[in-house]
This record gives sequence, structure tokens and C-alpha cells, in this order.
Amino acid sequence: MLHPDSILGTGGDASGEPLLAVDEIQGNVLPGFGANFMTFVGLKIVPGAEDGARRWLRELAPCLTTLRQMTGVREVRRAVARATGVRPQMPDLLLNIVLAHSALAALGLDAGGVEPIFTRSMREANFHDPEGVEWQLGDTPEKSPDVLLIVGSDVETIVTDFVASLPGRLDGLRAVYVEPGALLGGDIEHFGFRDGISQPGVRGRLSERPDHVLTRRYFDSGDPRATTYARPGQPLVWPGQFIFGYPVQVEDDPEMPGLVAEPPAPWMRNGSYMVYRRLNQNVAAFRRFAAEHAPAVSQKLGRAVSAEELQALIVGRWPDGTPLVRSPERPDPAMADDDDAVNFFSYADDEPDARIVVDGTSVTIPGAPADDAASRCPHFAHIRKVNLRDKGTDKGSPLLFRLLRRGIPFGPPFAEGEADGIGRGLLFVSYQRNLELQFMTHVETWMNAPDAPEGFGHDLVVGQSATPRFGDLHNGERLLDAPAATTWIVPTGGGFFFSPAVSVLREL
Amino acid sequence: MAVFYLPPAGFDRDFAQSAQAADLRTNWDEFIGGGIADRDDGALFYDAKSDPAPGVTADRVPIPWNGFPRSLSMFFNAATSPTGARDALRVAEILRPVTAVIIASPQGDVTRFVSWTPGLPTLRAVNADGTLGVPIVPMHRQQDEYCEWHVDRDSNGGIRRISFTAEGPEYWREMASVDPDLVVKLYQELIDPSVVKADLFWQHHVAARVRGTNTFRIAMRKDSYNPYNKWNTTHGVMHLTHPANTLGAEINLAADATVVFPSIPPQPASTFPRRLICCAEFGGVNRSSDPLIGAGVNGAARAGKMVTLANPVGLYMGTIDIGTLRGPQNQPIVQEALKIVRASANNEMILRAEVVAPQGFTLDQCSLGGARLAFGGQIAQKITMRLFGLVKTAPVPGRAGTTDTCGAKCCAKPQAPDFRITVAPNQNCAQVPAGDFDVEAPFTENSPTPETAMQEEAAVPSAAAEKESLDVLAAPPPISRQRNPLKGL
Repeated sequence: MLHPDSILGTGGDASGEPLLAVDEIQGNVLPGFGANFMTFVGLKIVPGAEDGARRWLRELAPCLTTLRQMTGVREVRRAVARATGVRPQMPDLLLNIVLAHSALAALGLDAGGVEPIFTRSMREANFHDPEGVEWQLGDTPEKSPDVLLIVGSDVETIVTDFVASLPGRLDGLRAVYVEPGALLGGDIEHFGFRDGISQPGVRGRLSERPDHVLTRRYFDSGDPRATTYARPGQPLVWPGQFIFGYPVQVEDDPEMPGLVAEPPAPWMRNGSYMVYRRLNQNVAAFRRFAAEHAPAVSQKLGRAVSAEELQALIVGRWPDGTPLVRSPERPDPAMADDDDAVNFFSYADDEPDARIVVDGTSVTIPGAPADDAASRCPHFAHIRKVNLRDKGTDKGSPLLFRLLRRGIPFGPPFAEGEADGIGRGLLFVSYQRNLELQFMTHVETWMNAPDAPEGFGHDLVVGQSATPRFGDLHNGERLLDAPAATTWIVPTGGGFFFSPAVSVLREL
Repeated sequence: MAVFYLPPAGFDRDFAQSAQAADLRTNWDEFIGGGIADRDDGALFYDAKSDPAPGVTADRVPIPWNGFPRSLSMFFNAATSPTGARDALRVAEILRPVTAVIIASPQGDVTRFVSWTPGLPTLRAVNADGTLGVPIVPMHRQQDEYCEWHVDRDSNGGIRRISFTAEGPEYWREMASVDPDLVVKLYQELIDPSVVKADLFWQHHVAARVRGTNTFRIAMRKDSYNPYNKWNTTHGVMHLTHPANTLGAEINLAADATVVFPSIPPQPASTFPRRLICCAEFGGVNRSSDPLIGAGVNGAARAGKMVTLANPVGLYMGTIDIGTLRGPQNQPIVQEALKIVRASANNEMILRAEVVAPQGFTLDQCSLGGARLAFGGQIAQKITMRLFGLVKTAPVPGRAGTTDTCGAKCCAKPQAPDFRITVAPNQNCAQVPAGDFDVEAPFTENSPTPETAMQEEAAVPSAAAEKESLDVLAAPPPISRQRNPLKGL
């Protein structure tokens, strides 16, 4: 008998969706670890000891957490949470391995055909990141790991014990970087905003059964969105957008599978490019910016705008996750607490009420008005810059650019009144099939640039620029000026990696 | 009457240096104003020069798109094929033959410039004695996103400079009609000091065939500006050459997109801009620009709001994000290499930009985004183009939109499902002949050329060719503004 979270639910038949290689795809790609604790361990291959490195990775490969295993963990987590109202602490050790370009030759893997950006260090990629900042990894060859271990668990000691045991066990590899991340209470990031709300629903089946799917569908089959959305606000995306060897999204037909994304080299099948980016967050600086600019913004808008509201305008949501499109004047705790409402809105057109089925009962989720002119959520708001939802772009539907985000905060929570400079931030992780089309479009074309995807300014949360940044109102009037580089988010490391299929590592 | 429509980007430096500056400004105002007024039919597209509702404010709305030809990316499956992206980059720089056909109609004859494809006649020179002369085959760039570029190489083949333009051909044609010497001077300054007037102006009449007949008529007069001159094609780039890349097409597209198609519900029209353009056919369905511009305009029209193009009317480069440009020693070089040559005062509207190799090396020794720089298209992929529309903030009484039914639908090329062509709404896509997709296909090293076609024709002399005639008395018809120029030929 299938677990309810892996049954199609409503929305018809998924027999047209591809069968996912559940024992090959690493579990942090799909469905994601979602663990309370994740530590990233960067390893360098010792020159001359490549055989040892291959052997060590080969022996570790059977321990890797696969899509199949991670689906099991997810099912137990959700079942316990449903039954008790409490998220259980799963004691599983979750382990994945990703490889940098620098590892491929040493491991005997063909590097021909990989994306050019994958061959570069992130520091070289130059996203207008502030100069003069020392990076923790990725700026020099010595500090650029060849291999990155991702170690996760809901129980901290499971992670720390494993990581502590590594130095004595490594063969042909040495650790050059260890970075522990931990969820903050309430799934927030350090600025205090709830994070990770919006993720695409990846299509695909977990077994030959036509209704055994990775992503459960909640829409009532009578709702026209039932075949294109998993739940309100969560569109379905074909797996080839993230993993080689599966159908990609067709630009203007979300129900039709596209061509299969053939891997440039055979070993890349069932694999995914991964981006790791260490972002320092200076909470005091962000709040200070908002407090300093709130009076001028109040004057321009002709009403009192608090520092908290200005932060919400920059982000596009209130700290509890309430989207401005649905509730522009204040946070709505009930909405924020409802997974089917908190992400249910569009920009170009009204979202009519949604009928969904939960535990066999039909429930109506109130719709949301459109905000095409950005009178509620500014064009420059972070969540709008990186995901235009129902609004087409020059390069096609926004679904073509979605990422699987698997980041986790690092460092202690911010304490009110604390001085600047405490090490905390976000370990941004994304998986995608095409670095240029997906990650680079997000960073270069949208967040760092004032004129795309809609115009009206930069992403003032994360975007970096060589020139001063700004946010404009829908009529083109300047609302906010900001310095060229953010002082509240400063990149301090990162790299491009590839998450290969488990069998690739097992057969090294 | 005071001049209203300014030159593109408000860039007045060209006109200002002419003894006929006032005439140049007036001529441009009348040219753009005339084009817009022609399309103001009392519905939702309006002429801001005679704003029917000056009391209703208008938001200035940018519409951005990428500068690299998306049609090539889709034709070659660049997103999924390991070799597709490189094929698209390579083919983007192959020049394509251009021709013109005169379309006679009761509404007024027009000259339609189109990419040459087999079956279309070439242009013909007109001899001094008024007889039809030899075929002539000018070339255009197949870069159809209102952003075109040229790669200058040194004697060793190294890339010395890559120049980008977003300037419509009309600006240069109109300027040449008032002050031809100014055009020569600007070519000398911007392209090459050795440019002479004879390079830029036709030295004979040029004739084009009237559609459906064996009669040729003069399409471009002797001494008129030649937009396909060598300094704007094989030897450089001054302005746009693709037949669809015109300011007239921009105006037409914006006006056509105000028509609402009730059979395309709002959600797919907004989310999937191609659904609308496949139905309405106001431009090229495989481009980044046309579907998005159309969808933006149509969204306002669905809300009953009037729209027009912001003054100065033009097509512009916005952000040129090549921060990842690195020299041979991996050193950042964007500050030295990127030159904004012609733009508005604040660089918000860029007409011309160049990437120039710093002293000591060539651009092909550099990398962009980790890849060795080999094609201008790699930089075009980092250029965000844009135009600015005006959208009234509220519906205006007495100005309602018009509706229509779909005149076409799209069919996907089987081997490249994102590449589409439009067919009649009742046509079965499964029965579309493979050759129909070739009409919209890019021109490659292996494509038939007018020369090969002529050789084949010469081998089989046709009776029709012998009856060709030239009507030298008819005036050259105006140039068509259709953004989808191949349609209907």
C-alpha cells in the first residue's frame, strides 16, 4: 500500500509522467533533505592519491541517501506530523556527495560537454560581489573543494559525530572546509522572514504504478488547475528542468512533456548541477537601512510606512510569509499558517478560489487578486524578481527558470541590539539542469539588473551591481535608492558542483 | 508646430552638427508622428502628440527582452542539445541574402523587404538605359531581436572589436534624405575613416518584382541611401538590417497587439505570450521580443487601457551585463572593454555599444562566463533590450478596444518542439509538410543561395523569365512595416 503523500491524490492520471530513477537520484536533489541540520564538508583530492580518493568515495557510495530513501523519510515525517501536530526528529543520517569540475579528471569522469561556467570558480564568475572580502571557500584553488559532502539529520549529534569521524577515515582526500548549517525556529532566515515557501512541484513517478508520484496533487479534479498545479501556488514542472535524462518543460504548454534532456556525457544522466553560495547576512545593516529610509518612503507614498513594512516591500512578503499580493496592509497569521493559502497568488491575472481535497474532504481556498501593475507587491521585490509566477518573460514561461532550493541558515540567530559583524547567513543551495539558463538568469539577468524581468529596479535583498541600485514604483518614480553592493548580504564563498547518480560514485 | 517626437534615445548630437538641424528634427517628428497617427484608429492605440485624454495620466512601462535571437536557440534546441547552443551562436553571424517584393493592392502599394528563400526573385539593378540589369543580392544579419552586431577581426583572425546596434534603419534613411553628407561623416567617425559617399548610396536604381507578375518596378532610387551597404553588413554595423527590425514594425506591433482575442483567456495569454501571438500573428512567434511586447500591450488592452509608445520612440539596449568578461590572465576587463557609444544621457537607452579588446590581446583570448569568447552572440546573450510603452492609468470614455477571432495557430517543428510556425486555424499540424518549417528556418552554410538558384534556373530557361519587364515610371512604393515580413508571400 502506498503512503498518502506519494499517491497522486486528485488531478487524474500520471501515467504520462516519467519513471524517476529512485535509486540513482541523490536525495537532496529530490525531494530534498529538509533536515534540521546540514553540514557541508569540502574535500580536496590529494595529488598522487587519486586511487585512494576514488576508493573512498566508492565505498561511501552505498551509504548515500537516494530519492527512494528520502521519500521514505519524508513520508514518516509527514505522517507523524499529521497525527501528532509535531514535526518528528528523524534520527537518520542523510548523506550526499557532489563533485566540482576539478575532481572529474582525477576521478576518471569525462569533462567534455559540461557547461563552461561549471569549469570556473564562483569568484571568477564575478557576480559583482564586493571586492576585498575574504571568502571561506571558492576563491583560490586551495580553498576550492573538489568534493563536497552534504551531511544532514534532524538530530545534531548524528551530523557532528559523522563529521568528527571523517579526518581519520579519509583516504586520498583532505578536508579544507567544514560549515555547519541549522534551521532557525519557524523556518525563517536571519532577517526574520519565513523562507523556502515557494518550491516547484516536480512531476514524475516513483514506481510503475500510474498514481505513485513524487509530488502529491491536491486540486479537486474539477478545478482547471488540477493538471498543472500540485497545490495552490505550486506549479508542476517536468523533471528534465532539474535532472538530465528526463523531459523538459515546453515553453507554452505546461502539460506536454518536452524533449528529453540528454546528458552531455553518459555519467551525467540522473544528475543535476548544484550551486553552493555562502551568503553572510548583516541583520543590523538591513534593519538600519529600512529604518533610515522608511520616512522618505512614507513621504513618497503619502502614508506612514514602518520600517517593518519597508522590509516587506523589499522582500514581497511579511516576515511570517504572508504575501503582499494577498495582504498588502498587514501580516495575516491565519493565512501564513495555511500552506494552501500562503503561496496562492499570481501577478498577471486574478486567481479564482481553489477547490482542493484534503483527507478526502473538499476545501475552498479563497482566491487572490492580480497585481500586474505592482500596486501591492513592487516589481523590484525579491520574490517577484526571481519568480514571475503567471507572468511570461522574454525567454518563455517562468517555469523554465525554476530552481530546486535546498539552502539552510548558518550562525546564531540575531539578538536585538547586537552589533554588526557576527558570522551568520544563508548557505544557498540550488539544483538545476542548466546553470546558465536557470541560476545565471536569476542572478545576472534578474537580481543584479534593474531592467528585467519586468524592470523598475534591482533585487535589493540579494542583487549586487556595479552601479547604485534602486527600486521604482509602477509609474517609474524612484521609491528607494541603495548602494551598489549590499552591505546586508555579502557573498563569502561558493562554487559550482554536480550531483551525479549514485551508481557513478559506486563504480568509480 | 513644435517638434514633438524626438530622435531615438533623445540623442540629438547627430542632428545638432548639421546645418540643416531644424529640417532633420522636423522630418523625424513627421516620420514617427505620421507612422503613429496612421495607426490611431480611435480604439486603444493612440498618438501622444494629439493625446485624446491628456487628463488621464499614463505610466511609462518598460518591456525587456534578451538580445540574442531566440529563434536560433529554439531551432537548434539550445536548451537541451549539447551542441545546439554553439550552433545557434555560429549561425547567428552568417549573413543572409535579402530581397524585396512589391505588393500591389487597392489600399496602396508597398515594398516588402524579406529574407531571400528559394522561389523568391532577387533584386535587379536598372541599367542606365532604363532596362532591367543584373541580379543583385544584398545581405542582412539574421539577428531578429532588434539587436544586431558585427565582429571586427585583425589580419590574424583575432577579434578586435564587437559592435552592437539597436538603431532602426529608418533613422539613417531619413537622415540621408535630408543631409546625406552627415550620414557619410557619421559612418567615417563610427565605422571606418575610409568610407566614401558612393559606398553608402545606390549608384543605380534598384528594381523589385511585383508579386504575382513578371513586372519589375523601382524599389530604391539611384542616389538614395542603401541600408545594406558594405559598411553596414560585411564590413561593419551601423544600424539594424533584418527586415523585421524596423521602427515601423515596432509601431505596428504595438498597435496590432491592442486587439483582444476572446478565445485566448487571460491566464494563458499572460503566462504563455506565444499563445497570443500564434493566434494574432502580429510578429515572429519564435522571438523573445514580439510575443512579450504583444502580451504586455494586450494585457493593458484587456483592461480597456489605451497604449502607445513612449517618446522618444525607439528600441534600446538596457543592461549589458558582461561582468564575467576576463582577459587572458583571468583579469576582469569589462571596465576597459565596454564602450557605450551612442545613448541617452543616463545610458538608460543605449543605441550603440562596443566591446573593444584592450591593448595587448584580442577578445578571442578572453572568456565570458567561463567560456572562451568566440562569437558576438555570447555578449548579445547578456544584453537586455527594451522599449518603453505608455499605458493610461484608467480607461478613457469613448476609446474602446476591438476584438477579433484567431487568424492562425502554431504548429511545432517535430524535431524542435519549441520552434513554431503559424498555419491556418483549421490546419492539422500533423499534416504540415516538413518543408513549411524550412521557410522560417535560419540560413546556414548549407542553405541554397540565390546564386545556386539562378544557376539551376539558367539550366532550364523558362518562358516566364523572357517576358520580364520594367516599369520605370511608377514611383517606389513605401516600405512595409509588417513585423512578420514573410507572411503572405
